[in-house]
Amino acid sequence: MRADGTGTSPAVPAGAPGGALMGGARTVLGLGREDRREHLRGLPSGLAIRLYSAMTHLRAFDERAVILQRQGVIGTYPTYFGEEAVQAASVLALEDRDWLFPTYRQTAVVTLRDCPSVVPLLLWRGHPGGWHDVMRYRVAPICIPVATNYPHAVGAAWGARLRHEGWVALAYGGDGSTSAGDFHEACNLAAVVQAPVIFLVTNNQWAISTPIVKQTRVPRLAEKAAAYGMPGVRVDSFDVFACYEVIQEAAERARRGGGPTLVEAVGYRLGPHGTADEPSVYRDPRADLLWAPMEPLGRTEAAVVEAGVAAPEQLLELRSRAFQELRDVGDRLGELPLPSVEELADSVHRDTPWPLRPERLYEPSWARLEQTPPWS
Amino acid sequence: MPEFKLPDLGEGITEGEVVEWRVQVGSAVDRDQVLLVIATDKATVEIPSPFQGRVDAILAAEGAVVHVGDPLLRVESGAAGEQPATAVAEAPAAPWAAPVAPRPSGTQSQPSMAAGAVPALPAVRRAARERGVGLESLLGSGPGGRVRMQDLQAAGRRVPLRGAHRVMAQRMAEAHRRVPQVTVVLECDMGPVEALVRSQPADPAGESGYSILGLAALAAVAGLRAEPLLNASFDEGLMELEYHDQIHLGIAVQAGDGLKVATLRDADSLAPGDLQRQLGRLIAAARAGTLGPSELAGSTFTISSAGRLGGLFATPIVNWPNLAVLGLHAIEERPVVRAGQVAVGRVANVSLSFDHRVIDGLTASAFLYQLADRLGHPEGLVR
Ligand SMILES: Cc1ncc(C[n+]2csc(CCOP(=O)(O)OP(=O)(O)O)c2C)c(N)n1
Ligand SMILES: [Mg+2]
Repeated sequence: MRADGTGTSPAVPAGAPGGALMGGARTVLGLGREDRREHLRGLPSGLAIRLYSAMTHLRAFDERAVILQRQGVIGTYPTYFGEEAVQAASVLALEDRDWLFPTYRQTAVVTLRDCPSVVPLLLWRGHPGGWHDVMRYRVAPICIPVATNYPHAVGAAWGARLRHEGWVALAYGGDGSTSAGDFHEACNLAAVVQAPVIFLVTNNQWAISTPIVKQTRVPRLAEKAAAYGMPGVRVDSFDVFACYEVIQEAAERARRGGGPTLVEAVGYRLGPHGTADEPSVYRDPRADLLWAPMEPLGRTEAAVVEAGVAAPEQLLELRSRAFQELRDVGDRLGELPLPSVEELADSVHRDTPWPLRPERLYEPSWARLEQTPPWS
Repeated sequence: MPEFKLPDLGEGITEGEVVEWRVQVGSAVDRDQVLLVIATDKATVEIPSPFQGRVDAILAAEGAVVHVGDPLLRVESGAAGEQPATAVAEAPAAPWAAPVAPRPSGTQSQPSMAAGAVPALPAVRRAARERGVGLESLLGSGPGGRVRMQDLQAAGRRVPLRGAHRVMAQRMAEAHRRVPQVTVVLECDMGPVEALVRSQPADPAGESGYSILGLAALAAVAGLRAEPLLNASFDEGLMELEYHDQIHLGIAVQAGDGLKVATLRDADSLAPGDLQRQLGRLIAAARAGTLGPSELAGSTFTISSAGRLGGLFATPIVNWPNLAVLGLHAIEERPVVRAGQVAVGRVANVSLSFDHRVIDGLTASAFLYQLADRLGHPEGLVR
């Protein structure tokens, strides 16, 4: 009953950017009304609500982070407004023992593994308290250099396979990241060694101000998988149920020894690149208007209510709780001290080299480097 | 009394310009309510309030350039009658979220419960009070008939029109009532104009060069010189035409507080570069709300440019007592036929709406064809 291969969501006007761009993307929300209800009712008990709840939490985190940035409590912040569906699905479709390798745009996924929200917010405050416990949550530190997290995930997953540990790794990335050498090397190696890894590439059509058409001649990124010898799947990134399904299938395949999968979650960056970005300078505001109805929280809400899986009051309650919780976290955050300069080089080297010793950090860098070290 | 200072907005930004205040002295502010809009080198952003209370003083005027750490406003917190802001269900969306998040139909319009105890959050109660709307008159869409902010917004409330909105309402009605207008439309190849705009070297003084609107204004001025009738006005009582010696261009600007027509005076006596500079200044002033009275009146001909969201075509209304208005519509890639070949062109519709009591179709069309021709050779406009 599913429209994979051809389905586009009815929410996308024909001829609009979404109509063409979402071609071939797996969809649940875009199914006919009856099929959609049947699908949602057939989900394991409580799953729809757990997905919605995770999305709400991610939205509350993101909105609070933007407010805190505007108030000067945290520094520059890459909002993920609109990516709540694919991010929530990515965590819930996996098992807790599976590893996540996030980028700057998935700072909050660790909170879906019960890490307190204050931790990633502290990261954007430049505070050492922002480093979550990597081994406990099985979430790697975020990578800001684009595509560098892919090889990390492949190495980890290959290790898991060699040791028969049974877990899989998932690495996040964007359309822009597929132009980086690291992406190619990671995909190639992953396929060769059949590493249990999922490359979850969110194709939001933009890499800051570079549109996908200036990024690649193969705008359906999933097609790139063929060149590496692995399956490639497209899915509507705004559709939490479709994302869940596709990622779970990829994880099962990887666990069975079937190797890596490239998942292209296709959509549009509904917000700016980050808090210091002004998209109206480089992109057509009409496209924003066309994509706006794809906003995932409202779509999920509508579908869940339509299927009778949850009552509107229950959803409102979940929303209210999430926003209140993040508001409280924000209040506490503003009261925490900023880190001291002495802490800048902590936890970077085992033995902090002489030019980076705390007592020297106040000197200008040229002075630190030009002076003869005491041991020479 | 807490003072709010311009926060460090990140990425090396040290200063910003106050574009617009969204609160006034004496108004109540909620936490997270947008206080003002700041334009930095990187982006124009809304700044939400970290406090809740009443605005005691505004310490930076619109248009002022403020540095990180400069005080922006003072808030008297916990003023009498203020409830803690707990409108969590109405948590503010990220600014770019505004048009999004359609509410599912299932959460809408449950009948509200018995009068006397209409449930609503404090922020909603206050907003209703401020707008003079009784909560009992509303249908709450929240659980148990709770009135939400959006119900209030959807309610038929009465808001007096002020300032630019009021002027717009009066002018538009006047024009529509008095002027039998006709609109002619042409497709205009904007490729050459865009090429000229693109080819301008970056100006060391930081001034931006010719804009599309600026070039269109120059083309219009040239056209009005050739056809002074379009720059005239009509005295209905005396049945007389009044020709104007000067060309005062009215530029329709969509500002946050409504549509304004900023007047570029003596456009025909300005050198092209000066006209462009004046135009830039006027538009900025219109957006910032700092136009002087003489800059808001006295135009003899109007240009309306809806920019990229202008749609295929719109019907600009003659800005009475002007006799004509030039409309510039969105530039699109469209197939065009050149010398028997189909090519991809950068095309915009241009239109002229005119007062058919005194201007005939031929005059209007001639003006428009000549304008399109001038825009096809824009180097001639900037000499
Ligand atoms: C190696 C590297 N080059 C450049 C940058 C600067 N940069 C930060 S984000 C970004 C765009 C990435 O776009 P995409 O992969 O599509 O991800 P999105 O930001 O859209 O989620 C760039 C170029 C960087 N962080 N790392
Ligand atoms: Mg991208």
